Amino acid sequence: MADHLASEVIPDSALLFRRIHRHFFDPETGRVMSGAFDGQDMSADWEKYSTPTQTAERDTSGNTVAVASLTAALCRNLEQTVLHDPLPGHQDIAANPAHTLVRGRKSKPTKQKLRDLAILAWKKE
Amino acid sequence: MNAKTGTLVDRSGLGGEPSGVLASREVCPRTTPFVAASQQPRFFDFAQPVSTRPRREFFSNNNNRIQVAGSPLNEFEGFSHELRSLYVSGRLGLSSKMCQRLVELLALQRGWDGGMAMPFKPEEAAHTVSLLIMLNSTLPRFNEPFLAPTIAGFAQLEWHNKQRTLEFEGTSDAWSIVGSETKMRGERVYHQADVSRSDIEELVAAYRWFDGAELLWPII
Repeated sequence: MADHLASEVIPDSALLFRRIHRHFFDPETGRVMSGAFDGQDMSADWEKYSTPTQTAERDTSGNTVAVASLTAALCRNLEQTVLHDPLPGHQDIAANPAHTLVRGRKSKPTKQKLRDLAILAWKKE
Repeated sequence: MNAKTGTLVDRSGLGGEPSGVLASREVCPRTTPFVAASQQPRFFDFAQPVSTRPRREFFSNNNNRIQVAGSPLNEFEGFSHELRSLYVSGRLGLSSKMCQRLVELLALQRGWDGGMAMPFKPEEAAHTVSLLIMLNSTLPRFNEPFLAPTIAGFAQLEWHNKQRTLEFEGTSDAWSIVGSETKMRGERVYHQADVSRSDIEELVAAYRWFDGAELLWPII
């Protein structure tokens, strides 16, 4: 586990998994809102250390209804920096060696592009 | 919304089974007896007649600040109640689903996304209702959007059809609008504009573009 907490360089081809909160998911159409891809530092999980299901299960609140996947290259093409940011465990929360930050300003078109290019990797039954 | 129980609690500061908002304000102080939030229905049932709706209760503390499970509710108390009254009056022109969604968003607390998300701003709900009523009454064809909060506490409205999408996102003083369309060769093109909340002509033009009444993106 200790090895996993060292930050690594994420290759362009790597898949990143992003949790989708229920408020950003239209259950009638199955569409994800672009607001799900917001924030200067947007958290995601790197496929090297996580599956879409594991990414969903890290949210214990029950608010995750889907997991979307993006490639690191796609994020970088939208002027984002992709940084491996493994999280150590603390108290009752397990370490997350997959944690990754997609860092950068996300304008409205950028958020839309991230949404349009993302692929649904997991959906709550 | 109580984040732990998922239960919506009336923040109106009103109690009883009002026949009208003003009337109920006159007779219902904030010291209404407590009722466990878990025993209440999750949302207002907008489709249910007023007289048969369950009594709405709420918690309050000694500081005249309404709280649910120790968390202070948003300001702009009474908006959800007003919304219900407007819906019942039949003058709002919005679906019960949309009204319920607005009430649900108004109950969001800080950190609702599990991170640092801001509560949904009550004034943003008012702007959203205003926009939807205006579009609904101005356009011959209008479909309600999917409504979501943003992590900054504003509203995001999104419409989709086969070729185009349209998004309105609230900012501190405007609607930030993005339209996207798929061109003949399959490439996706994005258009962006910031439009004053009072610029009805531009707001309507954006929706007309989405609906196919305008071929070219109309906002310069």
